[in-house]
Amino acid sequence: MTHNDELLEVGAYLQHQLRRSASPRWQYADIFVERSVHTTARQVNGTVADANTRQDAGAALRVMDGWTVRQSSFDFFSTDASTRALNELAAVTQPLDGALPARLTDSADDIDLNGLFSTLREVDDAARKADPRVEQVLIDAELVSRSLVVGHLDGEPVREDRQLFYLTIQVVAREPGRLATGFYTPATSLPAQLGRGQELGFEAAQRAVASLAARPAPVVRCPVVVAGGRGMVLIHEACCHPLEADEVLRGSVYADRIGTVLASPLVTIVDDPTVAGGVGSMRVDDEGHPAEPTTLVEQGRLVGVLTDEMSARRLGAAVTSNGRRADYRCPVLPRMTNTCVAGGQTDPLDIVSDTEYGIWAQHVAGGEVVESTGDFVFRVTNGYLIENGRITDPIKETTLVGNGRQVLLDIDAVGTDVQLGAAKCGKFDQLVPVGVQGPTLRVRNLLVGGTQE
Amino acid sequence: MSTRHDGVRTGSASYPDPTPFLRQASAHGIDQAEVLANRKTRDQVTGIDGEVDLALSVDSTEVNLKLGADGHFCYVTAGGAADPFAVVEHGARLLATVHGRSERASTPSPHVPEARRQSPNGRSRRPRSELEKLLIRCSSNDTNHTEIRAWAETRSVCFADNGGTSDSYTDSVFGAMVRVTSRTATGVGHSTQVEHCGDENVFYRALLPALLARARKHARALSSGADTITSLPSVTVLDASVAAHVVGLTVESLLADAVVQRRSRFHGGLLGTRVAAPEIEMVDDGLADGPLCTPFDDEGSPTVRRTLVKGGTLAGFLSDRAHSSLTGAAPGSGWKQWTNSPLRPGPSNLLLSSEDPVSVTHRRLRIIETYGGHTANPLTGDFSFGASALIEESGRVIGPVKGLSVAGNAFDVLHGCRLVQGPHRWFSCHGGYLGCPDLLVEGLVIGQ
Repeated sequence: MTHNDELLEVGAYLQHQLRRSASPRWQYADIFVERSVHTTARQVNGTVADANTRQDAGAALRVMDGWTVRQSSFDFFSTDASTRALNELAAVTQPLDGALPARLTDSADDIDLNGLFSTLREVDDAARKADPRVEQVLIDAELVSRSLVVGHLDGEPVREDRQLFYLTIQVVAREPGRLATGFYTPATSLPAQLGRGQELGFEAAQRAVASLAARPAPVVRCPVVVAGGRGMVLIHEACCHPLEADEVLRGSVYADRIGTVLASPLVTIVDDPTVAGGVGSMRVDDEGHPAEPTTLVEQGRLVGVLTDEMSARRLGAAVTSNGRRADYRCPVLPRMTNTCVAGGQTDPLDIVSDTEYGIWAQHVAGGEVVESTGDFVFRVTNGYLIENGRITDPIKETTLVGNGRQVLLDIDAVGTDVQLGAAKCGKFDQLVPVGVQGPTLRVRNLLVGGTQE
Repeated sequence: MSTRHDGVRTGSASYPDPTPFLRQASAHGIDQAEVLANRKTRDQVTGIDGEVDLALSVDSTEVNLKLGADGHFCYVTAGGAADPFAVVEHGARLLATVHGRSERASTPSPHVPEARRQSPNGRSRRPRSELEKLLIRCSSNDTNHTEIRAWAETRSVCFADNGGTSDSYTDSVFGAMVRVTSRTATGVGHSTQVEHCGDENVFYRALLPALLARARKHARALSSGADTITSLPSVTVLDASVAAHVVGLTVESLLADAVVQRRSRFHGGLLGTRVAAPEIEMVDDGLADGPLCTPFDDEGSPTVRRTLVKGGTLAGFLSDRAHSSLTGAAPGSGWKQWTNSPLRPGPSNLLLSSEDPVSVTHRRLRIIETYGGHTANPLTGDFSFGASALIEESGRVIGPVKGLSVAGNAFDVLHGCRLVQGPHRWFSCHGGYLGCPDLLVEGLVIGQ
């Protein structure tokens, strides 16, 4: 029997038990079975400092009892655990029907450790060779393989396999009196597409070295040109978090705005879990729904929200394929997959040359939004001043501050250069990979949170 | 030949039995094998506006196997029901691959001294239904939107190695996140408050009500008359939650692996130099009055009380065994910060304190809410985040200010800050906890 057969067998067993216990009060119920192998390695000082492999397997049983979601998660330590889990949900006192298959945690996955370490060496070598001022190269590698089975009260369980290869590269560059870092997170759900180690290392080193010459960022409200790819964290924070249905239910800044104009007519935003190589890509979501794109904003007009089963029922909206959980221990939340901003008509070089004074956000890190107010920030790790339509001095890392309601309307230029980037998104202590895809954008007015008054 | 693990040990211990894993390692001829086995049970309840939104229980087990040969190590983590043969086999393969790359030294696993083996706070928890009732009560009867996410986690831990060391403890941590949104004719105010403690009675009777009161007060204040104040006071106070974000940025530099890997601002023999204001102390203690009560760390070393900053000068680092001999710092701070992360140095209960806290009564900008704090750079200490603040004077709120940017450097803040009189609160920090009061700070650049 293969591992996938075992996974399906356990899923079918738990589904059977859940069906036996079903109550008319349940609006919804599902089972989720997961088996994963998670390998991490840290390269530092040119050598692998840590290597860790985690083999994990477990399940979650979940019901919507009235408007309350009850979930019980357990690993396959014993049949007792699954009995307790089911009893908690359903107050069932009769014994389970048959024994829980317990073969799930035996792992025979072939992880290409030599290949992984070879890539880390290449990245490290390339970064150090790129510039003599490179002092340190830190690489955190994450290789994840997940297999899932989701089953409901009706129908057959569905199976899903996902992979993730995520590198976090930090390069430290130093020259007398100055210290700077370069930050780069190449990642893919198709590990063969990650790219060559030499290119990744060189890119990370360039980002660090460029920052050595950076001057303090100003404190100013001005136009900001955001580069494509990971720069779409701007849209992820400013627009899409408040459109996750659980936040809409909490009264987010865009609640009750469906059908209204939310953004500039240049802006079209789609959450697309089918992007090839996107780190948020999947075939089915964590509730078993086939992955499909969901249009959120169409030429500036708000047309959709992101839902999971529970939030869709509470909101009276359609279910989209956005139910995600970090693992079987966590509750499902409506989450973004790959946030995609459609390309525009303007050459990105023209966007810069058309900007008299502003900031060019070449590379960005994470961000955060307060969904109820729309206030958000995102971090610019490599930024430059734009003066008289030309990119001039680099500026130190800084944060851009804005409010989504205004910023989305203030997008006045959209480039043609659509790129794909990767990030990780935290929500209620669950960190999941999310893709960000889009072109160069210009926002007419954002607060640059620098240190040069 | 595969030897299947039979299940939990009988008696009071509920963690997986480490013996079969150690036996398999011996059969492989591996020099050094250690097992940290644990079982976690977690109850989590979310109450929204008087109703239970989510009731979650998690029961999971974990075996962390550390294998070493000739000073090289690897880690394998598996569920408690994993086949010891398969786990050790995989670890041996990983070790063989790492072998020749890592240059890490290690000290032997010390036994936990009897004097440190206090009775932990691993008593049985109240049933989840009690938490559900409390959250229904606390999140209702309010005109604001109120969401309370509360959790209680108990961890039973056993450490054993093939040198004969074996010890165990049970510990519980309680935490809550309260989010309140207040909508008035003049604006929307939002507050998120998070805090942790290690005492269930304190959690129920004091922490949760205090969090709720603070969140409601902040949200109400921020919803009234915002954006009307243009002149900001020159005195700035960081609320404890904001202060913990900023001070937390400096903690990375207090970790021994960061020193060895030159990621620390304090690498290069800075012990004894001034790194903070003269009255500041930073002390880490796994058995102090914080959320954790752990007699040993995740590699079996006793959690000694460790002074990191004394009188504003750098006095020590937090270390695991691998980096101990390289930095001279005693082990006892080796933790697995996240489920999928390898073991590395980190804090347990790290307290920022001062013998001479100040009282602030004059007009001040009190920064109470931030967003984007996690995007700061722990290596340089540079931060810049979005914020909301209140202007206060003599205990009275003059008005709110929103949409601010607050920028500075965490190491500079540590040099120029004063601790404000009042209780410290406990926040997550590098997988452990940081206890922090309000801070009076200088040198921040506020954008509006």
